Amino acid sequence: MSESAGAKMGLEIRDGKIAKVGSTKRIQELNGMLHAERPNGDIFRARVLTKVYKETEGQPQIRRRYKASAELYRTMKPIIYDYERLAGWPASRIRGVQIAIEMHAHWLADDLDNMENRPYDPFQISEADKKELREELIPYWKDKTLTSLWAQYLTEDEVNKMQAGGFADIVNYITSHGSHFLPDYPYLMEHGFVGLYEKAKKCLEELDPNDPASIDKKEFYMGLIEVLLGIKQLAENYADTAAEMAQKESDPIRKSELLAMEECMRHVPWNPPRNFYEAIEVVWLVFCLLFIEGAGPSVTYGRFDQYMYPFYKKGIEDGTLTPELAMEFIEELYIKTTSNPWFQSTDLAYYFGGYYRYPHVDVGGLDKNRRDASNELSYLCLRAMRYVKTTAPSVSLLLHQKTPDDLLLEAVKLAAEGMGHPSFFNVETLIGMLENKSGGLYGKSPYTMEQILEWGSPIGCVEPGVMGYQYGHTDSCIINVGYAPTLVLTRGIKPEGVDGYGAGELLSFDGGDPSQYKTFGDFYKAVKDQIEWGIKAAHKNAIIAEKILAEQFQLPTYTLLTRGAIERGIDAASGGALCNVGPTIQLVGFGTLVDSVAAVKKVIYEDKAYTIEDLKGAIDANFEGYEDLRTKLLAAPKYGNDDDYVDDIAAELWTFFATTTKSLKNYRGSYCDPAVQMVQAHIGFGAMTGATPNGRLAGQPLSDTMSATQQADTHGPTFAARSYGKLNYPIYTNGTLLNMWISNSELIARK
Amino acid sequence: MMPILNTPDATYYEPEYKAAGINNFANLVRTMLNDYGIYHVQFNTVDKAVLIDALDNPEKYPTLMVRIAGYSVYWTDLSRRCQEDVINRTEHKF
Repeated sequence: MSESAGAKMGLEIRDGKIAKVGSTKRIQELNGMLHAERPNGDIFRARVLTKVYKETEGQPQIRRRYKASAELYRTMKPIIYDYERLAGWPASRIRGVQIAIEMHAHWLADDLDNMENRPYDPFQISEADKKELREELIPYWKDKTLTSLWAQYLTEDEVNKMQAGGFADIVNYITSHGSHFLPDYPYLMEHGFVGLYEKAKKCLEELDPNDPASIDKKEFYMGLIEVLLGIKQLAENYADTAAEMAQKESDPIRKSELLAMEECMRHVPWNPPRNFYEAIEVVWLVFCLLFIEGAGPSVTYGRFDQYMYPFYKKGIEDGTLTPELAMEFIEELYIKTTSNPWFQSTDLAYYFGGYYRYPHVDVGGLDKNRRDASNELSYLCLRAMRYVKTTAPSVSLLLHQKTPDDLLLEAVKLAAEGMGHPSFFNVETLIGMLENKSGGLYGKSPYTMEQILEWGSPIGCVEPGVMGYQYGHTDSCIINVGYAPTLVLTRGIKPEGVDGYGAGELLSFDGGDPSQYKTFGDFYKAVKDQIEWGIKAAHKNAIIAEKILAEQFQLPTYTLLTRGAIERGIDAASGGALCNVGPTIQLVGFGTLVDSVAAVKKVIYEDKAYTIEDLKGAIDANFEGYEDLRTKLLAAPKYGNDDDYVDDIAAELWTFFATTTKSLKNYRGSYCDPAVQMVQAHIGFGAMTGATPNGRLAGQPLSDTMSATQQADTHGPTFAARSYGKLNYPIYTNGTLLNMWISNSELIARK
Repeated sequence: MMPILNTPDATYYEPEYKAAGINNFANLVRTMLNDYGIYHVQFNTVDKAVLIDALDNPEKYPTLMVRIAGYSVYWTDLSRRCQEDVINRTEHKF
């Protein structure tokens, strides 16, 4: 089977066999519709953006960006499918995505013909759309994308290394803008978009035209008002469509549903919601807006069970809602959320394949008085996933000392289903991370404890954020720390024969002949020097992109849903949030790094079985002819077994990466946050990595996330957990990610 | 505790759990997070044998899902190299 067959076959299989699962007929039908579609690209957004940009040539950049969003919302065609109760789609088909032309035009032409057959994340694009892309849209944008603008600041060699070198990489940051966000749902639930409209109008009226700052702010407020009216129009258009469909509908039940949809869309999201239905409609429609305007992943529902609970409680009390009906709405939300693929560049899909767009629903946690915050919706959100069985959103339990055992049991039963849901997050550690978020090595975040307790939750995979108070890309730069020991030995040269750009050439820097490392301490320092070089190389290039984003890639809808940005008069991308996060730096290949360093310490410097020159020879030869040395390296202590010999190295390198990252300042003034996440990047980066001193062969996957190297944790889950328990978590202010695997046969007797 | 909510049409049936395994699982999560301070953990709980079978017989598993890292994905949406990596991870037993 070829490399690509898995991904393609999956699509073909599900095309025919429909997975109609769910708690009600409606959900089963909607799930079936989801599974019957292939991921597909829509060019509506690209077309509108191009039209607006051509019409506004030479005008202020912010005006052009804001006008484009407003026009998108005003002119988007409403789509309502059978069985739907929640209105809104970010693209014209199920499993559709808007192609963000200003992120992708520089590479898209090369891969357009191959888009349905590329190995990772193939997409359908119609022939007519391909023609329009090729002839009109791409030519206008190819020199204007973020990556193209960024590349003007660098040498070609650096541009390539930063995107496909395999050591220090920022490709995610420069192709996915408008992402990683916890929109201010609490505000919308209370005030609606009309509240923001009135605020923007008031700010505009109060501007003093003799104040020089008013020049830019006037553009900002006028633009926001136009965008807000666009959102209002979008909802009205849906209401009109629902009304037209109701008129033609012969089935009385469906007719009443369409009329209810019309009533809902006449009221929200402009006005604050009055019931559970309207509230969950707001939740979904905002997602659509953010997916239309933004190109990236990780727009997140956050603490859904908190901001939705008042509506749930009221509905149960006044008899207009039942738990079953609430769960049906939640299942519909899950299906629609899963429908959204992430359109990635071909380079990025190589690391992040699987289409996933990283939305979260988080349940449980603490309230602002540090009491347990769980409620019936916490259970329903977990339960719904057992019925609907979708990949998104990532349902997560915010666990703390006082979490009821019943809620944990509900989460464990979901885990036993084998879907990978839920994630378990530690609230106490989350609080620690958020207290220091973006504050540098010794500084504090701008958040108050009340803000953290009330609305702190993960974004994307694991990145801590506070709903409404934070904007910034939290998955920006990747440092392949697993490469560092090898680069010490190869003097910075990327070995021949591995994937990616520049094999056989200088990838990092030449630290000198390995024979100079007389002690383990010498070698260890050289490893750290490589890591530090990688961190700084990614950072210096990412902050260039950050500057370009701040100046030219404004995001009006993200700005509206960032608390305080209107009052500050600053766009979210330009620094309008209370906490302006990113670019961030995360590591990949942690277990590979730690095991490699421990193996060198043991075999070369303690047992003196071989010399460092022997090791260099072995790495250069991918261990061919060095089988005995490789055996000894593989036998050295391994991270994940509660062995202090190696776990002490792990703890030290872990903290070293974090402190080095946190010392660096970003363009918009806050400090860089470290993380361990990196999804399946360990596979793509592994393919670009030569042999490593832990005995891993060239091209093989690195260890995943912060987990022990595959199969190296041989003493069971408790010993692995003890190794993980020795690390400093709060210092990783952008989160950490751990995978484990427990056999299904341990949990389930009979299905 | 929330009762099982089953409308007449529901497709879901709760499986028969192994009480000891469920208990161990809950305790492992408590220990890792509440006692050790670990920030996040997530689990694959599919049997390895199922994945090995699914590697060569994907048509039997149209809705099989696995956790990659931070997200779940339909097995059949993954590339072969990623499927093999998931299979190669350590499968723990209590």
